[in-house]
Amino acid sequence: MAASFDSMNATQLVTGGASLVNKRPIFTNDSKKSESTVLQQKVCPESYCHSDVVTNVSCNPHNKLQATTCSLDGTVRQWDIIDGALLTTFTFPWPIYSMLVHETFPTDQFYLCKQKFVGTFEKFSQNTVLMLAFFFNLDSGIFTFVCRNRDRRSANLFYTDANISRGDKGRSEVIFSQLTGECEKLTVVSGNGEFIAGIDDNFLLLYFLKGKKRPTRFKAGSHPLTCLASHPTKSTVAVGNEAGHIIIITNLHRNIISNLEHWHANRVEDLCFSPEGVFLYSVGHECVLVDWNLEKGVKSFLPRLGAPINHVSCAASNALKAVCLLDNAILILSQNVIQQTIQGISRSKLYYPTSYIPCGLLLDPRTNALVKNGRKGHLHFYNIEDDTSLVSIDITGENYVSGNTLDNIRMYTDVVQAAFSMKGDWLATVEEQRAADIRDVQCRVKFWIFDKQKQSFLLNTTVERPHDADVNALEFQPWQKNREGNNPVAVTASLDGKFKVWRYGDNFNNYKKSKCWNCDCVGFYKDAVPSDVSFSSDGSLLSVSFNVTITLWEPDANVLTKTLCHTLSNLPIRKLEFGRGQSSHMLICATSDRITSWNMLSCHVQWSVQLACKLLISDPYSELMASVDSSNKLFVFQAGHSKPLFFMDCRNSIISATFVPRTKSSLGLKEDNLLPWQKHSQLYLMTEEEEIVAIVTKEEAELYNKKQRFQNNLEESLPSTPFAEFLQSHGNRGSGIRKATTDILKKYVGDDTLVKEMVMTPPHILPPVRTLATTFLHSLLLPSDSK
Amino acid sequence: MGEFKRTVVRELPERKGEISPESQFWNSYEFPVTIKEFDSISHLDFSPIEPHQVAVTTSNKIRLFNPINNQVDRTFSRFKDRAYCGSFRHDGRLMVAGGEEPVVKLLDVSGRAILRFFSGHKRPVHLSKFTVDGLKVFSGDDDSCVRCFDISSGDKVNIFEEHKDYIRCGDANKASRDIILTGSYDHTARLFDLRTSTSIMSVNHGKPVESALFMPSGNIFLTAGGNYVKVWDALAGGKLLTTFGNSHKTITSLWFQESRGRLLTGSLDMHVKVYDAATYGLLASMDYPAPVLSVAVSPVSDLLVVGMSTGLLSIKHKKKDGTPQTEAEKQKKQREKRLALRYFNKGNMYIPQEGDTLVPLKQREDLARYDRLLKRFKHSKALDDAFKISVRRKTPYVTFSVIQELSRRNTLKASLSGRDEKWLCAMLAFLKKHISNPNYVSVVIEVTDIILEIYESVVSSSEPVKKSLTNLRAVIDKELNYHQSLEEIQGMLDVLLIASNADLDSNPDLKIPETTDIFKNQTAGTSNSMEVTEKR
Repeated sequence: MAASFDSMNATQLVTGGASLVNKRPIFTNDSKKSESTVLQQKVCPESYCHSDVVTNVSCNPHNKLQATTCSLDGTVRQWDIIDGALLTTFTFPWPIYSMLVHETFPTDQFYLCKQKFVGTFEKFSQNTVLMLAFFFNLDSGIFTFVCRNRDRRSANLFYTDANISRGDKGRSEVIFSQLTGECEKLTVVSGNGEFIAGIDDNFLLLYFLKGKKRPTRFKAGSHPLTCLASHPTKSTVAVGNEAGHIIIITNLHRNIISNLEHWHANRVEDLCFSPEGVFLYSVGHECVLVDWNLEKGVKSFLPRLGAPINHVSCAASNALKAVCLLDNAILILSQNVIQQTIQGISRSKLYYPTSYIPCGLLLDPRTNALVKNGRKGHLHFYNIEDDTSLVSIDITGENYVSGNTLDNIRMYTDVVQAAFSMKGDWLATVEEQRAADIRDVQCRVKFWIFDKQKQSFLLNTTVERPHDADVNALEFQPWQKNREGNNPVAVTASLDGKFKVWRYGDNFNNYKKSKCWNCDCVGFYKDAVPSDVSFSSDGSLLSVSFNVTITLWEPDANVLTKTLCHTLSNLPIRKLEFGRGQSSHMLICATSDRITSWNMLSCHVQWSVQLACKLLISDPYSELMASVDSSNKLFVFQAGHSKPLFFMDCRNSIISATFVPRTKSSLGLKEDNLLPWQKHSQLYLMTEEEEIVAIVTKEEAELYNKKQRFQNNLEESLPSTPFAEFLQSHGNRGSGIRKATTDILKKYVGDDTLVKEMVMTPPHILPPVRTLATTFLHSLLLPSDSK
Repeated sequence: MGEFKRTVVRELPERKGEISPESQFWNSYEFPVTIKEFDSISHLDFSPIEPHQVAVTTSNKIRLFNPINNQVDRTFSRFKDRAYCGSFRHDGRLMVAGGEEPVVKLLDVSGRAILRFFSGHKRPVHLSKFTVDGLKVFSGDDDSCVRCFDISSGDKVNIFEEHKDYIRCGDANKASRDIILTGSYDHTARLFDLRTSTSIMSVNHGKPVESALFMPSGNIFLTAGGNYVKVWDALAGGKLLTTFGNSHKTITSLWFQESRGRLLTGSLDMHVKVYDAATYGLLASMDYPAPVLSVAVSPVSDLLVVGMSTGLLSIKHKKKDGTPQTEAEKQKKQREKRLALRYFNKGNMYIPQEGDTLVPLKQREDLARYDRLLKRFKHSKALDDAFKISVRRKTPYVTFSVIQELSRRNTLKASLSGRDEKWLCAMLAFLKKHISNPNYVSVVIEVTDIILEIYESVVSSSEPVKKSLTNLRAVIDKELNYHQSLEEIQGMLDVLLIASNADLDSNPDLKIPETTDIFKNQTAGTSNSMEVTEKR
């Protein structure tokens, strides 16, 4: 069975969509780059990195070239920042939620874990969740940790597990119990190393590391605290709370003085002191970076950063600041000017409780980029092969305004439908503005033309209120040269029971010469509501599904030619798709319980299969079609045959999918390693977590991971010439050229381990060049047996 | 720190707003010179010879205005009572005028003397014109009697007593020296042949004829009365060719602009309209501050003169294009230009030296005031700014766009509350004006709902607000009636269309012409307005 063999061999590979903003970015001590690169490694879990979510990244304060990461898999790893090499791994029995390092404790690191104790000690109940802080001495490998019970009265000793590397007996103390919220923001070591501060509901907890002062706990305001930051030199702590207050607490040793500042309307998401301690930066859902000058008592703002902010951090030199936007972007700011944007696949989750991507995954035929909803009212173009963001087009042109409260339902204008014309020179979008209490839905159709000179889409026509109700389908007519009337045509269908054909033509205005989209004709069928439209691949036939009936229309004349209906299912048709290529005479229609294929030549049902279809997509360049059913089973089939070519159980819930044609650059893979049906185009699925998953063979997945790793290493270890530095100073352009050099190197170096070793070894430990020259040159020669 | 995005102003395309070449021509006249007379200006006539003086008949005077300096060249004031219908002869040397006194006077344009008194009329003479050969004068009076006089002898040649009411207008046939046209309040216009003693043709206009005009060819004549103009074919025995008119009130005067083949009508609705003399289609329209009694265009089209019932005389000159300047003026202008250029280019030519710190000039974005206020979250003030009289009158779509933006920001209720009585009345009047517009109806309903919700408890204490609300209600009721009748018509049309389609095509669910869809769109508005009434 070919099909089963395929699915055995195939695997799902997460190729993009990782979150860049889950954790606070950290600048290295030379401020040259932020640590986001390390964070990104969690996207390839099975490779050399952590096997679970990375929870924290920090720089080693005593070795500027090292970074430490901790993860929920219970490991702590040390890395070389420059070449990304793994230096050490420590394994712990529990997931590690956070980590604190400080330069006053050169050998100790503090780790936060949540641990459920299972009946080992009678004083802990089974489900007590505790926060532990333990001191881990890197030199001796002995770690002592002190544990304190929840009531904070008794201290308990217990032993460490034997399988901890070089583990030994120790003591533990629970410093803070029951911390709630995001672990990373809960605790901080004070700048002078005197104490550890933590937050618990609306209490600030202090644990003094020096002296014999007892742990303190006191109330800071009446709202739950969300984040805290410590002054780099003084005994001062700033905490933010749910109500948007910032409380600055000074003089922690003697009489505590607290000072309340209030600007944020929603909760304070993160706080950060400048390295000198003069400024305090705070961020929240207002998309504003607030800059508090604590000495002068004035504040300044950096407004309209684009999306709600969840992290802020400052480089040690104070020249750079990094701000994490919740839509998966990191902004590097210098002097309040955006120096660089690191953008991942933007997320819609921040605006809705669940993922909501109304226009699904689309393919831009011009650039083969994936297109999906990005920020509010934007379409995001994403290059899936490089996992890089291309461009974000503002469709609605509205300012993002945050709500008074976080759960406030605000009216956003959303892009609910989008479609590209066959060549990608036209983009049509449908935007809707809706809210719970509004009776009128503002709907708008916009047509965008691609301007070759400006290399961007320009707005051509806006149609206000194209229909009386929501638009539920939008499609362009495939355009062909030899057909008459070369004007492009698009179709919209709406819940008001009509579908409209739009044609690009002369403006009705008598005195101005311009072209725009006009409504060509309106069609309806009985009183039924159209659910989907589809054009045949030559554009000569338009099919519109009304309830259980499929109607076929001649789009140029707008004449109904045929109605199709079968008795296999009484459920309304949800999706309609014409076959492409050799099966362009087939029409696939999907209801919520079966998929039926109609033969357009004989107007007969060719086949019908019971399948609770959730998604139905077709590859625009081949006869492949894919369907995902309600239990997230993926089926790939050809329109002419009911037997699937491939099926697979998807791990996650799939919300959208698309075929992306393979370009020449990605054909580096050997054809044998590809799934047979994916030779021309690759299938990408989008999960509910908004990660992009590719269906690949196991060999391909391995190759991908290897390539990723190799690329990383080689790229990082390239010597920085003055020219490279010059290029780097020119922002984004630098990266492209740097990548090019990598490609060249890869081309020449190939897979030769000797050369790789030579390139990757630090130059100061290499033997003299003259001794290596001969071997190096030999390795570059082509082996004699190959032609 | 992205740029603040301006509020998207949803300007709706308006057909009538487009400027046609014809209205461009009529707009290209300069700002009018207005002269105030004591009495209404009943008649205007242009001299057919250079410099084309215009004769303005008002009260007991006829004034000749110079078209170049707009000054009075000459005044004929030898009338005991009102003068009427001061008209030039084709050579521009003689004028004839009637008046409240039953005498027709022949005036010498270059001298002061009255050359002839033609007597015989018994009542005031409103019509006095030369025949086309310039040898005879014909006149019509309130005694419904048309008389024709010979100039050289001063004798009466003809008398026609066929009209049954006041004679107010007339014209001579430009092709035949014996044919004259007269229009009367008895709803008829008659053609007389001076060689016979009776009328040769009579047409019924249907309304009192205020103005009558022969086309230069002499075979077509027009009569104006009521709010329409009728076109008659004289050769086809008085066949009605067409009826046209876009005026709301009585058309008082007609003028044919020979050089461009345009017909101008002046009307009591304070408009002068321009029609194409071939198709009789409306080409342009100009408005004036008072009811228009007379309109005239100079033979070379460089002057448009309009007389109004309040005694206002408006003289518009054609804009001069590319007037040659003197050498000195040119030099001065060039010098100024150079200076300005130097000022604006200041520093542009400077080439920064190595090591200079470059500070780029940040252009400040020019935002509308309401956008600046929205940027700073001052929602109430933004609404105030968008609701200024100048904005809401000329560009209501701006006001509605700002309201929509406020609604999107969930701050509409806050910005509408705390308003005083005057503001509320203005807002309700604004809503009343636009509630019938399908483009704005949803916003209007939203605002109305919020206003009712906020001010429900205090409305009863304010008389003006109560009145405004009652007015709004009346408009809604009217609109509902209108929609109901539209739906009835649609129902009838649907029946007819389906019946006719059924003959052609056996399948009735096919295409139904788009006309029905227009009605469907309007009915969408109905359901919305229903909601308001139910709430109230």
